[in-house]
Amino acid sequence: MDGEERFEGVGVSPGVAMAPAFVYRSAELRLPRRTLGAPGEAEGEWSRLRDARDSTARDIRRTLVALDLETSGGEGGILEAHLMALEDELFIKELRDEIFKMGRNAEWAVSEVASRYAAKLRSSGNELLAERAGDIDDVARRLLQSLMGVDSTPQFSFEGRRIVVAGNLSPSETLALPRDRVVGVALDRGGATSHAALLVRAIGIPAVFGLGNFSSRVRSGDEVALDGNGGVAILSPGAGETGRLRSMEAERGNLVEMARRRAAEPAVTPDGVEVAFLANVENEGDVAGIAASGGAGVGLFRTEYLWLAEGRPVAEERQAEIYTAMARELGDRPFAIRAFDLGGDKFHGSASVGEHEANPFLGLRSIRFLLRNENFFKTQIRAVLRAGAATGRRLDFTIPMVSDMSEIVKTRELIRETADSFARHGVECIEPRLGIMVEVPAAAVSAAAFARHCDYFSIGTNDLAQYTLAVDRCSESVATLYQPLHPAVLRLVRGTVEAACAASIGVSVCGEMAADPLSAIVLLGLGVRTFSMAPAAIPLVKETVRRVPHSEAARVVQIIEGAATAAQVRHFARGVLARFAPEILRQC
Amino acid sequence: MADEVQEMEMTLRNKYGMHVRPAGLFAKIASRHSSAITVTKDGNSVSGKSIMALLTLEAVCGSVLTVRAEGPDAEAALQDLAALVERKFDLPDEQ
Repeated sequence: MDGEERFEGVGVSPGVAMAPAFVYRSAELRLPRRTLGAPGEAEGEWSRLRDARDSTARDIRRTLVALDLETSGGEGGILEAHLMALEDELFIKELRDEIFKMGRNAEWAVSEVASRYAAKLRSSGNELLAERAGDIDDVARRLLQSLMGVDSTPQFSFEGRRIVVAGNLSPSETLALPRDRVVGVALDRGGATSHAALLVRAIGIPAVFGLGNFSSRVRSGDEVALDGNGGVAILSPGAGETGRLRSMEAERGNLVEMARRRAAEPAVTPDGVEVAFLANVENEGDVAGIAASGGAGVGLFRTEYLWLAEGRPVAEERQAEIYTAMARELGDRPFAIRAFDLGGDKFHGSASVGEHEANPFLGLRSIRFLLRNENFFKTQIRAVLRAGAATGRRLDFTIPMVSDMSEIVKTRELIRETADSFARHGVECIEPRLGIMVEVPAAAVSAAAFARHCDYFSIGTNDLAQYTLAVDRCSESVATLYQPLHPAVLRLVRGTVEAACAASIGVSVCGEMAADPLSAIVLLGLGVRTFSMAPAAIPLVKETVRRVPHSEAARVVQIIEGAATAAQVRHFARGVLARFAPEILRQC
Repeated sequence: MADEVQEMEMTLRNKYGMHVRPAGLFAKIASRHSSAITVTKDGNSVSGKSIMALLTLEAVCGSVLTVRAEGPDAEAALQDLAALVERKFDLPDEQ
């Protein structure tokens, strides 16, 4: 075909994408350079710089938490290093010296100090070390953007599905890719081991790097095809060359489109088993889009995001406002508020949570932290009760990481006490239903006993897998051992569901596992009837449920009795999907 | 109780040398110990607990670092750091 141009690169993330290009270039920052003169000016610059540093660190923490919750990879590691750089005493001292001793304004100080470090790495005479100097530029850029009040989120300002084409992407730029709209990434530079490659693989979209001068040959809007397996990018692809890619792409598009159109319809298996879908949300604003995605309510509101957004504990008043507004918007639809899930490695550098621990995942986190800091916990309990009183509806309150019965009993007491004290002041409260996250093996094993003391279970598969398999899901060196479909994990899920049914209490799965069609089949087979997941994932999983007879999925119960490996379970699920929804399987 | 002083030589084996991420991991492990930790290369000595200071060593794959720990947990600190360096900082793309 006329005009078709092929570019050979390195396929760094598999799959096929065909879409118009969006050519991304990092915004040029025009740095103001000023010599300080007037008295007190240096103090002013220093205080601006500290504010910028704090807000940049907050942004990074927020992203880190989002990553922890969204992915099982270890790609948060580079951001953690960025955070350490920002908080490094030597770095801070040098910035301070630039301002106070050299009399330079904050922007100048940052660019000066950062370029000194980057220059050192680049001039080391070692190409490999020089290649990694970009991290320093990335940290400096974040700081400068914050200082200059430039929106620190890279601007991917486009509508619809696009392939992002760029010279290179920094880790923060890669993390900022709008995951709902970017269908592929093509870069001039970078290789299979670059940070951007790790991140793109974690997002799960096709990507080809090392394409030479591709980005300078493409204009936004040009049609581009990417073959992430073959490592090829095609500009203005012709029908002959890309027919196969196009048909695969079309199938994907149709599937997603069809699933979206039917998102609001119920999900009932061909043999009549209905599955309820709820949404995991992180802030107030998320509630508005839930219904369109097919969510019947909120199954998990991760309130620790409120803390992260502010960088400090959120006042009771503010919490009450947020919970009330969300409860109002949801009307009588389910609304489960999860107590602050703080600790683990999510809050690296945050002095407010816990002492330093050698094993933070086994330490003072989640409900353990809350019960140790009762006054803080009570602000949340009061806010939940106030939201219930203001809206006249019963809310759900979920406590995370329960391992000991006393944690349930103690939380229930705190709720009662608080409700009583409200009643004495003439405020009638509707006590929330109290649920527990089943994410520690102890809770799953003791589910029958715990079920007598709480109103529902919410199975958190990310942590349940991590604790059952003794695999840190953030550690790259053991990443391959992190397998949520491990039969041991699935037996615990099965036991928890049975215990909930026997006690007639509700049970849902809210880990990211539910969002993957293959795993969803397995969960369906294990008896799960309520899924909670990121709203964007709901349509396709609903469609999966509509295709697969429950009786077929339920054979997984026998499989896990005999199976020793996650691969066997996966093989089973692939087989089921291949029979009933092959086009969904091709997208897995 | 007198503080121990211990010293050990470590050779960087990860592909990209002491860039931001390994430096961060090194500083993180070093900071878990109460001993003072100094890293020296080619006569240049810096704090082992500072990510930025470690970058200034310009250490590449094959560089030899002299790590000195002084304090009550000096030995444990050196062992942890040596193990980290030995494992190439657990970075999958640098093995």
